[in-house]
Amino acid sequence: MEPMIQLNNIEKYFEAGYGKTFVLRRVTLDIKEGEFVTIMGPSGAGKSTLLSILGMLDSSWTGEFRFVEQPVHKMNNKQRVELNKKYIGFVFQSYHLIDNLTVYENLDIPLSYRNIKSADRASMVCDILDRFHIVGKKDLYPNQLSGGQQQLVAVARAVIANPKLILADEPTGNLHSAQGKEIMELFKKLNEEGTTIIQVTHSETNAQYGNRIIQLADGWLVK
Amino acid sequence: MIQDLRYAFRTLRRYPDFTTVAIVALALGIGANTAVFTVVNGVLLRPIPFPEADRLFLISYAPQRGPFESGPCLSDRDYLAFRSQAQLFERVASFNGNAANLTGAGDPVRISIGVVTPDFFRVLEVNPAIGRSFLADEGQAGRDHVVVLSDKLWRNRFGADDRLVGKAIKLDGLSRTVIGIMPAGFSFPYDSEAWTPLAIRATPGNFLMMPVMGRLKAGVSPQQAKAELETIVRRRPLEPEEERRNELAQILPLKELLVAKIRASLLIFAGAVAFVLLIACANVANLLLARAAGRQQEMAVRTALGAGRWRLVRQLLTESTLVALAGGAAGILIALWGVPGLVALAPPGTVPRVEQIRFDRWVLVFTIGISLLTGIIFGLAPAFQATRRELRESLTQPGRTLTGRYEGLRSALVISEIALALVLLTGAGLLLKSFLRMRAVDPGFRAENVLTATVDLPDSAYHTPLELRSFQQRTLARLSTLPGVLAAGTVNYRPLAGLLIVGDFTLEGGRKLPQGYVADKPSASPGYFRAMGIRLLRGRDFTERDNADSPGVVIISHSVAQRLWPNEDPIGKRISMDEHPKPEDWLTIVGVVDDVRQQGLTQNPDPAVYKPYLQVKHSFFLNHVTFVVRTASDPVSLAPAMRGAFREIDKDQPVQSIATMQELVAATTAEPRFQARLLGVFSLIALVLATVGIYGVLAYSVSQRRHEIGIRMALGAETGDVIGMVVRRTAALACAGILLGAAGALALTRVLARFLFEVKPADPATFLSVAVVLAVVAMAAGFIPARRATRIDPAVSLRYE
Repeated sequence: MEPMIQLNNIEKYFEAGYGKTFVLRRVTLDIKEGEFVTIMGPSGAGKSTLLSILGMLDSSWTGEFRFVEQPVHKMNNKQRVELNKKYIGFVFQSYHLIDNLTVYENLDIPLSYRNIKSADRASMVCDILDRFHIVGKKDLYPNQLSGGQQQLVAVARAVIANPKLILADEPTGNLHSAQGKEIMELFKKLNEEGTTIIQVTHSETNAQYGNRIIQLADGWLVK
Repeated sequence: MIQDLRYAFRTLRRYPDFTTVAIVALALGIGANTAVFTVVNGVLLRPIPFPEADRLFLISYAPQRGPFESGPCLSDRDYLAFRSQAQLFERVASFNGNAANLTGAGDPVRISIGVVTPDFFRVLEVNPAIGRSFLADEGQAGRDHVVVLSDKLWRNRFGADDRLVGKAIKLDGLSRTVIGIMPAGFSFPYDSEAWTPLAIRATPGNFLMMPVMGRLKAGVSPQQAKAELETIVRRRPLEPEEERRNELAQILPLKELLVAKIRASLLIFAGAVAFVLLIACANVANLLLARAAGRQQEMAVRTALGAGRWRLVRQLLTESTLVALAGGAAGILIALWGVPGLVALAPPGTVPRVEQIRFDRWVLVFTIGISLLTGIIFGLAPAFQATRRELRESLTQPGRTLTGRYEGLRSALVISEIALALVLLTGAGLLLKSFLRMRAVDPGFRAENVLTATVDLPDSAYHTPLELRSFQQRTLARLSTLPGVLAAGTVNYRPLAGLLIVGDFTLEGGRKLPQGYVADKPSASPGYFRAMGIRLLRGRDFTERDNADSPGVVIISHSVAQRLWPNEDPIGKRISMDEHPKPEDWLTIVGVVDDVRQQGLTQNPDPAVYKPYLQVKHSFFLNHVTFVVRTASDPVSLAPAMRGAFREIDKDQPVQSIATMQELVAATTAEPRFQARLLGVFSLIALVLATVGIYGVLAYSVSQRRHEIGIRMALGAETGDVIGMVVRRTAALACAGILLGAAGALALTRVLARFLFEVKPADPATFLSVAVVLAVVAMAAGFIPARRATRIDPAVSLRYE
């Protein structure tokens, strides 16, 4: 079986005056379905950029990128968005919940972009509220929740559409250790249930939850 | 305060884009208001230029409704009673407007004459600059061959000759001795160029109504004067044929005589520009709110350094007031350019007291006043918002913004802008539709290629009907031979002249006319209908054989035929203008012509009975005559030849006016066109400002929601979803604004009802069209921000967060 993600010579750069400033250099990488991969490296190494490319949020790069056997590098933006919608869920360091929507409405956003009937959407949101034990919080706004609770909602939002891949950018960066541990346990459980997870982190402890670590330095894949 | 000012200057200089947009928006609003106020001030507010003008009043006891409704005036008998019994007025005088031919002073010319009782100038307390005014007995017949001239006439026609007083001039062929020259600028009433004396006397069986004015004694109120007027007129015994018809006693400021007609128009314009200013204020307030969001850190630092809320509000208000004053200064420049434009745009004669329209200290006070007021109005809400406690505490919440809190206020401002713009657009739309309806009216004649010229022949020069008919006959014969003339004719009162002679008549066979039925009775020549383009529906036109020696004939209009002989052929039927006709008084109907709108395009056509002028026996029906020629090409080119023809026939008779029928038709729609055009201009400014407002709010909203849009895109939103998000917001704002505006327009357009023709103030088609226009404009304004939203790079927007 082919790997879920195949990157071949991926490069990203910015034009900077007299020349190019590279953010990623010749990144070649395979990730199989069901893996829990950690991307590590110093600030500015290109970790978040790599995650954006994997999540189809960034389209200005060169090289070959195959995702679930489909050539992303040959796709237009609309096709990439379709792939994103079908397979990928995001978790961010700053949670990125929408301030003026309730927990319930935040969870509903990904479903609203996926042509799912509203009755089905309601039942899916209720399921996820139940699964993450946040039913009591459904009518609260993000600023009425603690950081840990907000990230819990963000993870719930990432998985609500049953993605095959979760991309997590510093998911515990703004949380204290107990809350961080809770989130990481959640990721581990999701991974055991079959979801592929790629996380960016600075934390060695969090990296231990995964089964592979990829190091980036100055845009290069180190190991 | 100095420090606040200095800081405000520096801040405004640092944000040139904001400052420029705000000043331009306010300049438009304040400029339009200053321009309209300058006109309102000159026309409505400035006192009339007479000593102690606040004691000058019109005295009126006149019917308020029905066919005898008139402007403020008194009947001759009421005037005489009031003049002899009134205790509360120092003096009263009656006056009227007239016109006369001035000959012997260059080319003959028709001038406007004030016919006034001898006390007229003493009531106004204005004395001639040279000579004297009328003596008390100069109103009496035999003593009344005197005249007072205006400074303008004296200069233009008599070369400012100092020795003119005491000499005679000729008015309508009669000799009148010049006894005085009025000071420069005096032309009251009705732009008079000369004044002749008038004696009011009660003639049995004749009842005249004329304007009357008086100077109140010091300390007397108009209410007391009104009570006195009521007492005097109500206790006066009525004469046998005299009757009262819903008369109302009124004591009105003399200025009313000049401004009553235009007041409503001016107040509507003033309201419209106030709306424009409110929209500009809403725009600037929105800009300030956007800026306040960017300044919350600054406010927090200032608070941390000990600034109280009032101190911060004062700082922000200083900035907004400074912007408003700059807008006011630019507004004055716009008004300096706009006022002459406004006056020039107005059809001639519609704006009275034009000479009083100028920039004075009151205009300056007004402009500074509204500038300060607008500075406070649009600055207050943003200042209080920007200095809210939670914002001032934002130092403790780095990275978190509370800009979303402004959304409600900003949205409310934009909704108000759309609503105000909709009210103005609806008003303009209704006036435009009414104007178009008016233009589409069939007047009953074909105005193209028709040239008209009006002449008033004085009794002193034309003593008998025979002489009058002869003048018409000779002139017509001469006009018919001019090259390019297809048809020529005469009528005493042409269509749309606003003048007419109406009356009843007698039907042969003892049939009675319907109750109250009256018809116009024009005197026309053979060829008139052809020249004017009035269709002959049945029978024949008048011919030269329809003269004093042949049996009397008439041509009736279609509506007379329909009403009096609905299922019969009226040709051959007979009527008479006499109540008890002798056999020779019967007139045979020989033709039926189309109905003509005699009194104006908005008035229903009057029934008309035309008489051939060669059979008219009274001078009264022949003195005033309009010659009508239909030409093969541009009628204007025939004007010099026409003037020459009149000079050939009688060089002493001035042609009152030479105008094409198309010009005369256009003149009747000039005022509605002016109203529609002016309100259109104001509503366009409003629309532009509202569009800028919608764009500003949506662009700002998109920039504030970059992060949210980034998240949504990361969670799967496509281009359509993002555009939909912005479009939905635009639609919500537009819908709310349109609904609110429609409600406001329903309430406010009622004030336009008196200006509308065949259009109801709540005309659904206009409301719908304006709503659609605004919706389309709003969506267009929202489109650029929507497109911009789709270009947000989620990777970038999320990373910056």
